[in-house]
Amino acid sequence: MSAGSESPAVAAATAAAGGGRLADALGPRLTRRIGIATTLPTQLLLIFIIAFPTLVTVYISLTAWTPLDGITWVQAYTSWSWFDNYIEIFQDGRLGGAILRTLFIVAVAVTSEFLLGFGLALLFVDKFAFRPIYYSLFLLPMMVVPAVSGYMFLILFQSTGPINQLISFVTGHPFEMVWLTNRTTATIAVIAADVWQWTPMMFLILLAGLIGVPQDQIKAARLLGASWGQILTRISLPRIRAVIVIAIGIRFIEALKLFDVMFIMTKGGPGVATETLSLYIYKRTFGDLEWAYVAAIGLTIVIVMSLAAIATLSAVRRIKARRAAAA
Amino acid sequence: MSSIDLIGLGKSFNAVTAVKDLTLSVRDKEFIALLGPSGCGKTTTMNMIAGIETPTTGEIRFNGIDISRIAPNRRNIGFVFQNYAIFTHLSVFENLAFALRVRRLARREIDRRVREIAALMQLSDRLDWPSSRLSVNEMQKLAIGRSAIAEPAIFLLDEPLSNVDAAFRVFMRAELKRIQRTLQQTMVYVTHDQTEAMSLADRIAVLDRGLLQQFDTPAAVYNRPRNTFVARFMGSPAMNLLEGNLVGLNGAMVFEAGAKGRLRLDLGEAERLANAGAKQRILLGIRPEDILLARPDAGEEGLTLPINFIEPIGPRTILHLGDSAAELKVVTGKRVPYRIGEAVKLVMPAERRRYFDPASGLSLDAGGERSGQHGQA
Repeated sequence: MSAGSESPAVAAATAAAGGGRLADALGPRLTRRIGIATTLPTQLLLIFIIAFPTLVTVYISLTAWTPLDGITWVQAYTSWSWFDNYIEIFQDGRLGGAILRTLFIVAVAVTSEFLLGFGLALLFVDKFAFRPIYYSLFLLPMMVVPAVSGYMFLILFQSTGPINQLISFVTGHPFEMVWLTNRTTATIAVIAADVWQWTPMMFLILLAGLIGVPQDQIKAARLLGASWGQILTRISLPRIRAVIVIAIGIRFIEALKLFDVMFIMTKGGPGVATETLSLYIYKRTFGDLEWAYVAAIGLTIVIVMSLAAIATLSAVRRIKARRAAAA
Repeated sequence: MSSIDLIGLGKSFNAVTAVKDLTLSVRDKEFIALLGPSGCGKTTTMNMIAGIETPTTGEIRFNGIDISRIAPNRRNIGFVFQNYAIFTHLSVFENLAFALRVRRLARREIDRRVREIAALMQLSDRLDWPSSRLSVNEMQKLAIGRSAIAEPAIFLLDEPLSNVDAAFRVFMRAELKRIQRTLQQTMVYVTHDQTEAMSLADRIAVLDRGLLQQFDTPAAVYNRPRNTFVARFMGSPAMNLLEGNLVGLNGAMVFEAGAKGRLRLDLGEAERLANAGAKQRILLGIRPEDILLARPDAGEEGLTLPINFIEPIGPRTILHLGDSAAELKVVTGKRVPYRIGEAVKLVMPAERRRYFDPASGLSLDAGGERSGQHGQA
């Protein structure tokens, strides 16, 4: 390693010590050593926080250990089982159901959030009276703690709750739908809660993108005879493609972790009708105490999610590269 | 193929009046320039014609029909922006095709017309380039081609040459004239550059602080400025304006400019000024290139002034004469047989002299020579 490829921390430390003059005086070798010494505690801490738990998880996932065995995790090797847990993942019907259900809920929720958020963003691009106030109001749900919004929707969807009361009032007939104990309506309720909470985030990101579209190009398109819709599809949308990919990507990954709202509203019920991946893992962890199996699931999810994240990022990079090639 | 009538047009932004009571008519296929310093209201006027801005007062008519209720995208105008507003996410071809695509023309028709306009704009070998890779000069041509392809009846250009380099500007001036002749369109051209306006326009509308100062042919605006603003704004260097007194001397009218000397007015001039209601204080205007130089002891009549500074600019030389407070400039040939500090006699032919009222700034010549067609009635 040459002096030119010092870590940023070392570079910052030497810069702080007088614009590199100290580094010149000490020579590259000593400089590097000081750099390593001063950043060592942080590095150790990071290793402890990230590497240690990961290694423990990998270790346990290769055994059949559970806390009920009466031995500590260190001795888990006594029930070494190689890849049994990983094989189990592919044979676990309830896990497969949870994954498909999660994907379905995420797909519906994120699509709705995108459409609503984009629609709202389009309305907010132009100035109108009280825009800042509406703007703040629309962002409010995002600030609510998910567990709290879970309780809010739990209360809203009670059979004697405000939603049924409202429907009764509007239709004039008593309406007493038991939302959360029916497979379909419970799913709708859970999606509604997610959409309510996370549309603002979509809105925020997409609005930032739309505001970034050069006004003169919109003006030029309009003067060239383009209608509002044509400006949208030919100018605005192509220009914010990268922003859209990022917004959907973030929401998709976030939504896969869906837990709090679901846990409070339905606990995955009725039966396993709204049981998502995180809820299933929670149940296997704290209900069945099958920690070795859960460790295997956890690791698999991390790997799959990382691949998804890489795919998203490379998609964004491709769009950027295409634009850079054009520039 | 359309005439434009602006009738009592005005635009205010809150407390600021950008354009005030502007009335002018552009004939079909005419090339007019809106000329003035920045903030004079020329771009606002253009934006109102395009429909980007709504007039506060007055009316705009295309071919005699009020168009104030027609949306910008239905006015059939081409608009070239100062910064071109090229769609950088699209190729050159797609930029040119934009106006046709939004009109849902057949693919073959689009292809044919794009190639046609690309040939006219000399962009044929750039069609599949990403538009963001074009040079500024090419972007300029693309911006014009993109607007021209829809064959708009009216073409509006907002300072289209202000960002291109000097050599290309000269080339583009000729190109624009050629394009206008080919396309047979009514063109309105906004500029602050009087050379551009002079060389391109059939008529020039000079604006200052939201008010129309003069609307006439380039020659008329240059030679017979309606007021001191136009006199100072047109031409580089500007028209000399010399303050002095009109006095009677030996039965003749004389312009007296203090120590600089005096000029005898000929009979026609004197009569004209009397008819125009000239007062004693008066401004004499003369173009720097209309002044002839002579030795101080020459027999001709003229004002005698010392040379302050000699500024050679290639084909011509600009002489700065007199004190810096009331400097006179003379444009003369390449060779100057005088030195700095030397006094010279400035001979000002009577037919080249213009007179203005120092209080109002208005020309006192209107009654005499052929009156230019003024924008304001």
